Amino acid sequence: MSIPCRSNSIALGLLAGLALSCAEPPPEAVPTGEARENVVTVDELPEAPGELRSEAVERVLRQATLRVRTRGCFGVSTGSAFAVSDRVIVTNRHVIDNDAGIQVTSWDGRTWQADLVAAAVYEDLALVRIDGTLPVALAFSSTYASGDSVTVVGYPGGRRITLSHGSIVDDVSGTVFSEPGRVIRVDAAIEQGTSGGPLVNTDGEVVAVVFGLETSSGYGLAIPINTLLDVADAEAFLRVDPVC
Amino acid sequence: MDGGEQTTSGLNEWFTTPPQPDADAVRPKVGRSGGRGARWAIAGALVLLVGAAALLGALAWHNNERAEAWRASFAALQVEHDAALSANEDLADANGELSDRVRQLSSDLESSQEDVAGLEGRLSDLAQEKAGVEDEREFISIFAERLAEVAVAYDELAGMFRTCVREQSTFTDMMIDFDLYWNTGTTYLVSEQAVATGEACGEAEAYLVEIRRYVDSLSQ
Repeated sequence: MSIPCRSNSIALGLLAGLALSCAEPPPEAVPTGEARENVVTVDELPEAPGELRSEAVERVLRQATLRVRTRGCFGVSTGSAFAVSDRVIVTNRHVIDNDAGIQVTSWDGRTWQADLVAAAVYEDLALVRIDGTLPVALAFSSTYASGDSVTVVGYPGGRRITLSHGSIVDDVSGTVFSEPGRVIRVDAAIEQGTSGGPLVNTDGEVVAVVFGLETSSGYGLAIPINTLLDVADAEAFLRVDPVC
Repeated sequence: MDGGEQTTSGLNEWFTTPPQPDADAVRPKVGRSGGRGARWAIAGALVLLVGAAALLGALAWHNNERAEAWRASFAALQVEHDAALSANEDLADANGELSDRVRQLSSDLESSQEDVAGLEGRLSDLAQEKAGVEDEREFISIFAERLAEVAVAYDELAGMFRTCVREQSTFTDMMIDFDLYWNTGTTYLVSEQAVATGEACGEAEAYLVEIRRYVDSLSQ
């Protein structure tokens, strides 16, 4: 499986490095994309007939998609996220806003604490570094087209993990959604709580980060992975400290 | 073929038609040299006969040997064939058993996969329940922290109301003795006390409103 636009390992290393660079001094070395131990990506799965491979891909998606619990000053909110390396996850900025502590939970109940949070200035994107090791990370794909089959993975309403299938409708200017870049619209079912979850293609590669719902059409909205990589390239993730 | 028939005919003559005494032949016609030739011919014929018999015997012995060898080979092959048949039957039985075993293992595997899927579903449900409980615990923890803040605020409010009451009490005493203040021309002290009382009680009431608003926001 090839990454059409950029090297996945470089992107992962960059993201992990950025998250690390926010901390003074760095508490410990973070494995980057070039040396990711205990990490299995979808593209490392053995070739198998369609149904088995599909099941294997779904299993990896479940393992790599995480539930985020944000402890605010006056309550608790939940969202979704996905692993891009063995310690760094990607989610939305609005998921980690006003946090007084973030906990990340896997589909099977394991829980980690966030030890570093960084958010994009303009885009609804955030990186969270956790205090443990995640078993699986997802690969990226920066190519997509209208009509492509996609799957949204997340924890709608903070409930159990779901995989919602659909297709890409189009990509539009994100201005009306307060996003500076392009925004992908999908017809897969999206609910509150799915924010921060991955939008993946049929190979299990992350195409975009889900961030909202267009109320007029009911389409789900997602930020293309290119935007995430551009923000990472521009080093535009800023450290977020607990507010209370 | 003509020559062969002639040879056979010639041999038959030797075996089936013994020479008959012929008075003309027995009687020498041309002296001793003619009898000697006949004897050589007979001797040669005998030698040929013995040679042929020996050759045939050798051929027969050789054929017998070969036949024995073939019989032995046949017997060995028969044994091998029987063994192969037996082995084939064993293999067929083993194959059948293996097929049954494979079917059983496939069934077991399928069952195991269903078990795993069921366990994973159960694990996911338990994880969800755990996450929900942790959410509630976090919420209760946050609520408890906020309630503790409210308790501290009410304590401060109680102090403020005590100040209000104390100022009011002072003001009431001054009002009782107002004549004294009037006669001494110090009524401004009563006025100042009224202002101080109003400020202290107003501050306490404002704080109470603020606390109530905060508590209302918590309940939302």
